[in-house]
Amino acid sequence: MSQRPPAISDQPVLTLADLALRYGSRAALRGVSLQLHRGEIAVLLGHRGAGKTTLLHTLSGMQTPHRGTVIFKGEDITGMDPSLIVAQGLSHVAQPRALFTHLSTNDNLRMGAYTRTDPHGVQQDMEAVRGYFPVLRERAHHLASELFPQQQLMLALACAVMASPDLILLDEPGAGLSHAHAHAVLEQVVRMNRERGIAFLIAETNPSAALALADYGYVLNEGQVTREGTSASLREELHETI
Amino acid sequence: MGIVLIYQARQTISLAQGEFMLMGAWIALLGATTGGLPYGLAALVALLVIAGMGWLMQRLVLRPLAGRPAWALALLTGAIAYGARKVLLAVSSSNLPSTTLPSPDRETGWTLADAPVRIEYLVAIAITVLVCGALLALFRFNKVGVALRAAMHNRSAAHHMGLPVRHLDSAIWVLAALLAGTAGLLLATWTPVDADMASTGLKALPAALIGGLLRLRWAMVGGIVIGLIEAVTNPLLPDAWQNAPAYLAALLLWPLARRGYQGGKGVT
Repeated sequence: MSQRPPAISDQPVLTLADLALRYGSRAALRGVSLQLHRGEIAVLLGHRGAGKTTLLHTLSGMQTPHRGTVIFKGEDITGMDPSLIVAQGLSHVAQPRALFTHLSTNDNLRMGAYTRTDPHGVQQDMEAVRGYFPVLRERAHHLASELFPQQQLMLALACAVMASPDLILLDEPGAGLSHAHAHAVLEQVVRMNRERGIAFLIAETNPSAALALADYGYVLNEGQVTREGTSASLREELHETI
Repeated sequence: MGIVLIYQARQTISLAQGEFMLMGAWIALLGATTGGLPYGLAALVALLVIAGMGWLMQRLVLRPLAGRPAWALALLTGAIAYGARKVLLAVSSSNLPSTTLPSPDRETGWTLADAPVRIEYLVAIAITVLVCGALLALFRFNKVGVALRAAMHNRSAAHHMGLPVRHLDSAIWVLAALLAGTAGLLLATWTPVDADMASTGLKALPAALIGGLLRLRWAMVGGIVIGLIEAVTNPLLPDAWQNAPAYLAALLLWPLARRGYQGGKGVT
């Protein structure tokens, strides 16, 4: 197994230890352990049904694991209320996109910043996300339901950024989008990562797009991490096996 | 309007709105007569108590039952309301004659096109308009108001965005109870505070139904429609049938309203 690139901070932002979750008698997660460093982009690969979405939901507090712990910035957040987890700095861009479709783009952004108490910072970040995605300014007063799918993804990401997070969980950024649209959004993900130091954990079925921009990757198979490594090493391995 | 709020939030119907109304009026009355408080203060105390009860209702009864079928919750609110009404009447009949709230200028009034216009009515209308306006403004411009709307509409998105969904749930019930309490206080200035008042309060249900259970604005329109229907039919019908037209209208208009409003989504 290859070492992580040295550029990334070796302080962990997220540590999962032996996380397990069952739906009735079916095990969705069977002891997942992984670690994400501050400012790192990691990708979580796996087939449909491998447990990627379940894992992300467990991290953001939407589901409670029956075993294992989630440590975020040194604090145990296992089973904590989702709103408290967002306030701690962990945001989740779900798939399908969790937007308030009957509210305007601007109101969605305001809701994204709900947990924050610094109006000045919120205003600055409002400008910042419109810098990443200028279309959000053009469509500020449109309802979220009136946006195109790629614009909805942009809005969901922007809402996550509005919470001023240290880590964003991004579920299937490419779902339902053309290659070009997905690529355009992922470019901004890299920018957010470089400029704001936000770490990303990106779940993807298709290895090519996300793996290309990630620093590190995990392969999830039937609720277990079966492979991990730098994105370069994973890409080689996957090419060999496919 | 309270019924619409709760329907939006939990897709269930609170049958307790009438009792919240009765309770609000009754507490204010008790405060003003037995307690000797000035009317304004008694009303304030009543609203505080009602808000607390709305909160308790959500907290103790509905939160533990989250995820149960809507009809079960609706029945439960009805049962609690019925029990509360009985207890209230048992307590009040001993020491409280059925009476109206003291109103400052009972005898003052004007005549408009040969109909007497009592000052209580005008005050009630003014306060109602004010409350409706404030509510619409809250849901449109206030951060918490927008969050309430958001959480009512899409709970999962609310969780994902970090909205405090539990607190917002409670706030909805407090708000609904407050609306009912305010209505009770206003109504009590010209109607005796007794069991019939809760039935009048439940008339908010046909109003909400006519509004399609979907939007506050339409519930307001529904209320006006009910008022107009009753104004026309009441002189024509015997006492026992006074409530019938409102419910009949709701039955007839509801499917229409549902279909008509399905295009637009949202709470206000």
